[in-house]
Formats: sequence, C-alpha cells, structure tokens
Amino acid sequence: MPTVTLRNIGKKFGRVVALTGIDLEIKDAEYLAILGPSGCGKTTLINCITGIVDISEGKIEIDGKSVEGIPIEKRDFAMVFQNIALFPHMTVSENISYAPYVNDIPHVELKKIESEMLKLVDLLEQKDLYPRELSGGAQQKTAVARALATREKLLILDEPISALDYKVRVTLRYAIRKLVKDLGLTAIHITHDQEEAMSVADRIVILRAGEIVEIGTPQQLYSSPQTLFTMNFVGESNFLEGVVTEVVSDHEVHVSFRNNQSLGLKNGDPHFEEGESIVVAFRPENAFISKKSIGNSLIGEITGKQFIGGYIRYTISLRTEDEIILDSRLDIEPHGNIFIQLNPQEARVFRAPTYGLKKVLTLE
Amino acid sequence: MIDSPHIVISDLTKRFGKKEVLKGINLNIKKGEYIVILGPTGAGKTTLLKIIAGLLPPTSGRISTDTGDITDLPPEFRNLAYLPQTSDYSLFAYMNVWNNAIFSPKMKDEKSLQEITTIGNEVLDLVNLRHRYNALPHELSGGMKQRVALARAIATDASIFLLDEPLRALDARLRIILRTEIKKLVTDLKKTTFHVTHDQEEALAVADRILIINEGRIIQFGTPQEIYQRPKTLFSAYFFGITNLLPVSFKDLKDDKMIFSVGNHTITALASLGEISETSEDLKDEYVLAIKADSITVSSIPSTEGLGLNEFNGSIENLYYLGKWIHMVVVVETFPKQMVIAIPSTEMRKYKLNSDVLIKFDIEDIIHYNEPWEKVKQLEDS
Amino acid sequence: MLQKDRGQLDRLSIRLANLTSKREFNTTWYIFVFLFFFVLVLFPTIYVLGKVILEFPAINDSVLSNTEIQSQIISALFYSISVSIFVTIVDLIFGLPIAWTLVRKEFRFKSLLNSFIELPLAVPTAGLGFSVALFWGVTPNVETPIFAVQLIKNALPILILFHFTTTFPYVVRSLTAILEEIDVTLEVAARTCGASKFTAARTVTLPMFRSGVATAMVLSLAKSLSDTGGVVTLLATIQSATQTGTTLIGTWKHAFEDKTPVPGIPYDSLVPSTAFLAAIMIIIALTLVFIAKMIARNARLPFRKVFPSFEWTVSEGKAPQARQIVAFGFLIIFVIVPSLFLVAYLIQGASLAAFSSANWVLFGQSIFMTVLVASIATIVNVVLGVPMAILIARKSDRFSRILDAMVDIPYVVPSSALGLSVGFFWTDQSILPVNELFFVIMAHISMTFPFIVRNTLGGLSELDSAYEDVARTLGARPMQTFKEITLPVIKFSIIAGAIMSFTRSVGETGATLAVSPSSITAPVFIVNLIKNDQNYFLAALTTLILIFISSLLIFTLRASISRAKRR
Repeated sequence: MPTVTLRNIGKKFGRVVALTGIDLEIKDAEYLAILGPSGCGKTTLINCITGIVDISEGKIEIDGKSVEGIPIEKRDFAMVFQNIALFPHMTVSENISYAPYVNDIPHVELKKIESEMLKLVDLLEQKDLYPRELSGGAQQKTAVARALATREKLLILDEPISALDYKVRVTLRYAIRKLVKDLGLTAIHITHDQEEAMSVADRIVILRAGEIVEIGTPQQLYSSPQTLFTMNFVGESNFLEGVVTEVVSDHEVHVSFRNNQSLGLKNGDPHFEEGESIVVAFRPENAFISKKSIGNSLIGEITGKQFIGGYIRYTISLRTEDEIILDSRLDIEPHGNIFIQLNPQEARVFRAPTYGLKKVLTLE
Repeated sequence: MIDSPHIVISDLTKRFGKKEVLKGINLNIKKGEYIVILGPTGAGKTTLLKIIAGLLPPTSGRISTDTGDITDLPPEFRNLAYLPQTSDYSLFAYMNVWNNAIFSPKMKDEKSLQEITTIGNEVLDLVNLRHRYNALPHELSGGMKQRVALARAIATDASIFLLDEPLRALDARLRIILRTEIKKLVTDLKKTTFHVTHDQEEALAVADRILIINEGRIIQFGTPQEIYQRPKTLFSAYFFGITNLLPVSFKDLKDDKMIFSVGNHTITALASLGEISETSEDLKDEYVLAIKADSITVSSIPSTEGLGLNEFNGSIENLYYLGKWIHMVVVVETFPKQMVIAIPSTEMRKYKLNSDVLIKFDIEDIIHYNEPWEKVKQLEDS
Repeated sequence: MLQKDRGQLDRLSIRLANLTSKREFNTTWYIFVFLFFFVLVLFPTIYVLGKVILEFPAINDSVLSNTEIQSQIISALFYSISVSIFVTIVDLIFGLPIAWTLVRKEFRFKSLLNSFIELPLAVPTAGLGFSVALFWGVTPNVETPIFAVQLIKNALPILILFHFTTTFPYVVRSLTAILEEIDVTLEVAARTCGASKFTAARTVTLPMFRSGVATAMVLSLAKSLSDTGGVVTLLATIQSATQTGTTLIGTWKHAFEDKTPVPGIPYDSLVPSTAFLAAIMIIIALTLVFIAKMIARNARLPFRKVFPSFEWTVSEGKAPQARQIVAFGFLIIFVIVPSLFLVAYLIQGASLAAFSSANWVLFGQSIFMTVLVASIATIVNVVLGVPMAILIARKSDRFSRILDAMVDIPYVVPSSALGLSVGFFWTDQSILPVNELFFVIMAHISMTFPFIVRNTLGGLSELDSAYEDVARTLGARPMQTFKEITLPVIKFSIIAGAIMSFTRSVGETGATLAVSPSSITAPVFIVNLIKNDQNYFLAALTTLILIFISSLLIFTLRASISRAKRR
C-alpha cells in the first residue's frame, strides 16, 4: 500500500535554493494537499517525487523503497497535470486507455478498463470526442480517468482544477475527493487555493519559500494556526499590533493598542510577559458588532459596506488607527460609533515578529 | 453630477460571420460606477469590452459618453484605458517600469517632458512601486506587474477603465487582496470602471452593480444584493453562491402562496418571488425552485412531532470544511436531490456524519421558476 | 503643439506618425504592397506557364515533335525528381533524431553544433558543388587534398550526396522550430502512464509533428529541385555530362544567347524548349509540394501496436546513445565535412602562380555585383514584405489566407525556372527598356520575397495582438504602435529573414543565369571558372569570400539575438 516518505529533501537550481529540509510522511490512503503561494516550491517538490527533476539532497521513499535513479515511467504513481496535458490527437477513450495501451495489455482487458473508467468519471457519451471538443471540466475528468487507468494507488494532482471556472471547480473538487476515497487511493494534491485545499484534503502542508511552514488538518490550520503566515494565508484575517500590559493568568492577558485602546484576551501558550510586543489576529467572521457600548471592545466607525452573498462585509476604521474587515449577517447603519467585541475562543495572540509584521505576511 | 450618465450604450449588436455574439445590449452607466461584467466563457464579455474600447466595430448600435458619440472614434481618441487578458498583464516586456508607466503621455504628445516626469512619479507612488522604476516586467511578481499595469492606465488620465479579468493569473489569496486594492484605487480617482470576470465571489465583493450576460444577452443588471437575493432567471440564480436547484411540481395557488410538491413533501413559496406562466392553459406543472445554501437553517434536533411549514427531516451525508463555512450535504427522503447547506464553521461541532437534522427553508428565500426540469441538469453539467 | 522641449527627431517622428496614421495613407500603402506582390513578384514568377499555354501550338511544333529534345528533358527530369525525393526521405530519417537531441537535450557542444548545422547555408551552392565533388568524387582534372574519399564517378550518387549538404540544414531547422512548440508535459504525461521514452515520443509527439514534417519536406524538395550552380560545378568537376532540369534550362538559355548550336536541336527550337521545360519544372515542383503536404497531413504510422520490452531496450542505456552517434555521424560525414572540404583544397593549392594568373578585375567586379544585387533585393523585400506579413497576420479574413498560401510560391518554383520566367516577363513588356541588371535584381526580389514574409510572420505570431490593442487605447497612433510595440518584438525575425534573403541571393546561380547569362555575379563567376576556365583555385577563393560575408552576417545575428535574450 502506498506511503510516501520524504527525508530532508533539498533542491537547488544552480545557486538558487528551491527546497530545503523537507521532511514529510504521507500515510496510506491519505489525501494530502500541498498549499503555498506561487514560487513557494510546490511544483518543484512534486517534480522531485515524480522524478521529473533530481533532488540535490535527501531521500524519497515510495512504499518504503528508495526511488533514487528510477525514471518517471517506472515510479509507481499516476498523475494529473495543471495544463491538463491530454493528447490532442487522441479521442477521450484513446486517452483514457493510453496506459494499458502502452503496456501492451490484451485488447479485451484494455476495453474493460476503458469502459470502467469512462463510467467512473461519467463520460460515456463523450468517449469519441477529441479533447478540444470538450468543456474544461470534461477535459480534466478525462485526464483524471487517464491517470486512474494506470491502476496505480498513488495519485498526484498538480493544480488539477485551478484553470477552470469557479462553478466547475467546486463540482470537480468534490468529485475528485470522492473518487480518491472510494478507490482507497493515496493522493497528493498541489494548489494555491486555500479553499480548494481545505475542501479536499485530510491534511494540508503549507509551503513557503521552499520550506514547510506548518502541517495540519484544515480545521487546525484555519481556526488555530501556529504561525502568522498561516493565519493570513489560509483565509482572511485582521492583524492588530499591540503590547501586553498585564498578564492576568496563564490563559488571559491584557493588551493595549494605539490611542489608549485596550482589550482583555484569552490565550493559552505561548506565555507572554508584561511589555512584550504582540500581534492580535482574528478572522472577519469572529467578531461581534454592536451599536451600543459594550465592555471589553474596540471602538470604530464603518467606512465601507459591501453585500457579499450570504453576509455583509464591513470595512471599519478603528480608534487604534487600524483598518479591519468584519463579516456579519446583520444590516448595520454605517454612521456613528460602533463597538467590536472579539470572539474570545477564536482571536489569537502571536508574538510580534522580529522583522516586522508586513514581511511575515507577504505572499509574494 | 454623480448621477449624470457617463456612458450610454444603445442597441449594441455584434456578429462574427454568422455568429451573433452580442444581441442588443442597452446600458446606462453613472459616473464613477464600478461595474462588474460576469458570465460564463463565451458569453460575449470580452467582445463587449473591445467594442467599448474601439478595438472592434459594432455591427449596429451606438456608444456615447459625456463627451459625445464615440462609436466611430479610433481607440486612441476615446480617452479610456484598457487592460486585456494577456499572460503578462499586458505590460510591454522590454520596457522598464518607468517607460511602461509614462507610455501614454509620451505617445499623446500633449505634455512637456517635465510634466510627463511628474505624472510618472505620481502614478508609481500611487501603487507604491517608485523604487522599482528601473525593473523590467519579468523581474516583478504577478501582483507588482498588475500594479504597474494599473499605474500605466492611471497615467492616461482616462475617465473610463476597462479591465478584462485583471486577477485571473494570480494566486487565490492574492486575488482577494488585490481586488480590494484595485477597487479602492479606481474609486478614489473617480474612474468609471468595467471589470470582466467569471468569478462570482469577486463580482459580489467589488461591484457597485453587476451585469450578467449569457449568450450575448443581458440576463440581469443590478446591485450585488438584488442579484443575489432576487435573481431574475434560473441562470443567475444558479450562478451566484451555492444554490440548490430543486425540480418540483406545481400543485396549488392559494392567495399569494404557491404550493409545490416534491416527493412526498410539499414546499410553500411566495407567488411574488419568481415567475408564473401568464395563461392558465399552458401553466405547466414543472417548476424549479432555487434556494441558496446559506439561507437554509439547520437544527441538530430532528422533529419527532409534526413538521412546520417548509421543514424537513434529513440526515447528513457529507460535511466539507471550508474554513469560514461548512458545506453540509443533507439527504431528505424522496427529495430528487441532496440539499447543500452552508453553515458557519463555528457550528461544526454540533453535527456528525449520518446523524439526523431538521432543515427549514425561509419562505422569503425560495425563488421559483417555471422552467422544465431538464434545465437543472443542463446548468449543472455545463 | 507642445513639442518645444523635444529633439528634432522626436518631433519628426510624431509628425510622421500623425501623417501615416491617416486611414487614406494606410489604404494606399497596402494597395501598393498588394500590387507589388501580385504584379512584380508573383506574376513574373509563373509568367512562363501562361506563355507556354498561349503559345502551345508553336511549342507543339518545335518541341513535342523532336525526340532529341524530349529525351533530354526526360533524362533531366528523372535526375531532378528522383534525387529530390530520395534526399528528402533520407534527410527526414536522420534529421528527426538530430532535431530531437538539439531541442530536448542539454549537452556541452550544443551551441557549437547549432552553429555548425547552419554553416552549409552560408556556402554558395556553386562552391558547395565543387567542395562535395572534391570530397566524394573522382576528379580527373583536379588535384585533390589528401583526405578526399575519391570514390564516385557516376552522376546519380554524387547528386544525392551533394543535395544532402544543401537540404539537411533546412530540414533540421524546420523540425527543431516545430518541436520547440510541442509541450513537453505531454511526453511527461505519457511517461507517467508507463510509456518508455521511445514509446512516448512515437505515440504522442510524432503524430503531432506533422506540420513540422510537412514544412521540412517542402523545403527539402524545393531546394533540391531548384539548385543549379552547385549541380553545374559538381558535375563539371567529375566531368559528367549529365543534366538536371535546372542545369538544362541554363545550358539552353546560354546556347541561345551565345548562338552556339546544340547537337540535335534546331536553334529556333531552343527558346520554346526552355520555356516548356521551365513550365514543366514549375508544375512538378508545385505538385510534389502539394503531395508532400497531403502525405504529412494524412499519413498514419504503420505500427499501432506497442512492444513494451523492445521499446524499453531502445529507450535505455546504450541504445539512445548509439542512435545519436549514427545521426550525428551522418551530419558530420555527409553534410559538414563535404561542405567545408574546399578549404582544405584552398590551403593545399595556394601558390604564387595561382595568385598571379587570376583575373582579379573580374573577381572584384563579380563580388561587387553580387553584394549590390543582394542588398537591393533585400532592402526592397524588407520594405514591402513586412507590411504584407502584418496584413496576413492581423487581418484574418479569407483574402489574407489566400495571400498566406501564395507567398510561398516563389520559393517552391525552381530558381532557374523562376529566372527564365522573370526574364520572359520583362523582355515581353514594352514599357521599360531592357536592362539586364534590373532583370536580375527583379528575379532575386521574387525569389527571396518569401523569406522576409515568412520570418516576419513567425515573429508576429509571438506577439499577442492584445499588446497592440493596449497601446492604441493608451493613445498611440497605429504608426507609433508599430514602432514602439510591434517592431521591437519582430525586429530579430525581420533581420533573420533579411539575412536569409541576402545569403540566398548571394549564393544564387540558376536564376541569374536564366535571366541574363551575361551578368557575372560571383556564383556565375565561380561556375565559369570551374566549368570553362578550370581555374579551381580562384573559384575556391571566391567561394571563401562569399562564405565569409554570409557567415559574418549569420553570426552577428546569432550573437545579437542571444544578447537580447539574455537581457
């Protein structure tokens, strides 16, 4: 059964370091997403696993066996490509049966695999069309079927749906996850879209500038991230820079911001000391807006209001001279002062980064 | 001043050979409005933008702005800025940031070199890239390139901005940051903007008004809220947000309420929300209901006694965690389809796979369409 | 109005932009370009076809009734056609692995090899023929350098060996150009499905490669049907009396001008026979090219079945290396060494006697004339070919598609047939006085026009027209858009086209001979030296000078392009 183990992988292109110290264990039948902004090294990492490029250091094992020196075609995996890469001169069914065809599998057997795959991705009616005659979604379904027809148990998906329209993306990502789980495959899925990663994966690896930032389940990464970068990258967040004025207990601190604004906040570790610079981070949906004065809140004014589907997004100028965004289902009149209370379970306090907040949050 | 029309487009059509790409577009745009044009691939979005820019002649129809009729003007005299969909944000690859930024005033020959330098500094300051003035486009990140392209557009002093999928090539997260940035920049400068996209979330997030087009026709033109809550057609209902499309049969009309049957159940909707056939003879009984995933309320305690209006017991088949939201897939017995419900993720711990729940549709949130049931499959497959 | 603080040149260019952006100006200019192409390039090229049809009764009387003429024509055509087909097939077989290696592999001598492949293009074919004959042939009158093979006496094998050198570089270049455009991920995708490298290439890349194969076939066929100067010097050096279609045109034309009798052919029949032969050559060339395109478009590979274990063996270990060695061995032995063999002769043959006996006046005149003709033809073609390419690329209507197909005709038509046709066209008109130098220039313009248009089209296809759109909306007039946006991107393609056009013109013998046998350009000079004077040393020296001029241009271009790419 397929497991993938990466031990201290490093990759250099000339003097440019693309990956350093990647340690990762992918379990059997696990759906793993590798998430990161463009240029973070995620494609290089996949190219190392597949053998498209050679690693500079470290060791890769598939099923406990080192893959060093084994060419692409002899490593046991199936792959779906970002640019879909269907063979333009072959029909849907010829594309799908390509793997059995090049392995010279008897015709009867080949036809059986082909029709099984066509059924699996629901493309029976389009089997005689050429790729250019298909919609984007159907093309990628064909590509998935072509990969599955290899009968490999390890499936690698390199940004499989990021080039498609939103509606198709949503449908297809659930379809892919269902296929992977129904067939009991191990999957590695690369993407730059955090919503996509969260919706398909059991576990997500966050990659930035060639290094792993954090690994966790979607819930862990969204609601209790360990780093400021993850907090900003996986979903939108507000960040307020402040100073600890009082440590009430192990789980509670008082924090002050510019213009004498202050808050009492709950937090576990790390333990802060009085006078320490910190960053308070919270998601736009994790705050409560009130027109009436309430305790332990920040004061501000609404400067923007945009209806976004199921909720309204407010842009708010705080007394602390910060601008934040908040999402609420309530329709609030935009003039006069408002009071904002943070959801104590969901607001997170981080130690202020040494080289400034902006540098830690930057995505490019 | 703010409400005076800035751009008026009347009866605009465009044919390519036999293919009619635009079939009569009429629009009245106010000064400083941020308009998002939305539609699936091949709807005619880019063609419309190119006609406004003067890069394609319309087959018929007129376009006028506050300066008069511009239908026959060549693009360089239209006083607008256009960002097409190209791989590199349409920056001129071999010119550095500075020369890209001052391209327009330099070409137009209306300003002295001194003035051009001032403009160049101003626009690069606006996008915080003055320090990179000497960089070539390929040395910049995607977001920076997009900012330079904007700076170059601002330097034209044009009052109309035409942006064709300005964020397409960027990472998902960066897209969210930049869309707000662009909106702020152009509205601060009081530009009238057309922004083409196929991403409905982007449209909702930045638009003053959204123009939905499909197959060369205007489907709906309105504020994000109008479009989201009161979609005029099944197409726009499906296009925005996660929408459950439920094929149902018409049963009865009582006062202002319509009663539909679905499986063993009935759903009651307001007659005023949606379309009804005008003549009773061909009042077909095939209807489609559109219910947004985030408008359905769920309770973890199924009802053991009688169910209220539009309440149903079901069981959770799947839960997808998306960060802010959870998509809950609920199976209601004898419903032809599973229902997708979006709930805030903070409520996740209340629900478990395969457990029973009570779901409720608010009568205000059910829109009905007198459309054949096959329409649902057509939409979902396309 | 506000041009005060700008330089003179800036002001002038803005005024010019305003003037030239007027719609009337544009229309007039484009009409002029069209007329030029149809009336002065395309029509003269195929004028002889019309002439033959109109004067068919006369031709019927003088040509088709004379068995001697017929047998000469048939023999010449046999050589032309069989050689060109055979050479094309062999070129493809060896060209494919070389192109593959050049595009997909990184190795130490890659850039050196890239330059070497283009070297034969810089050698004027008249010199090339001599060089190949020295290397392969038995040469009774010439003392050959030590490493010469000295094996071949017959015309057919040596014609084939000669045409490898003229066509192979074109084949490899057009194959690499297309191969570079095929997405590598497709091969990777095939390999993730378990296909070996060989299987992936055979089942995925090769079927998508048809357009490349078609272009390569067309180039190779056209080039080998067309060559005159090389064939004349080649056959003269091995003392063979064999004629190909193109040399026969030259010989007859020459005989007519010099009023020398040809055995078995009445003097009055010479002109109609030549015209008839030229017309047939044109028809054959166009037909072969058409057939080649059809084959490339419709052919399927004979083996659909995959033999995994066999194909594994040829993909791994020593097999790919062996394949490459064979292909590159072919390149070196059959193309590069024979092309440059005349340098060895030159070194060996240099002597005071050889220097003092040479006709230096004619030598200087011929080189001057060659450079003059090539320069004028190239400049005219750039000025008129670039607007034509823009028209074809940016207006996608039926008319531009027809133009697109017609542009290549002057290339496909064998050059001596073209020269003859252009000559007829200009002597038959009664407006301009007869001026042979002018005719030669016009023939060279027709012949090299496609190079400029094709190259510019290639450059234009790399520039998304959206960039031009942006410039327009930013306020640039059409002429400014061209200068600021289009030209910087396509300028290297234009220069490349200009250099191809220039070198082609410098090396051309057949067209010049057929228009005006008395115009002594350098290649004609070389032919005369070898065929009539047997002054091989001066011929080799002239060739070397021409190689020097052409390769200087080619290498400057390569250097400046790679410098521009590094930026």
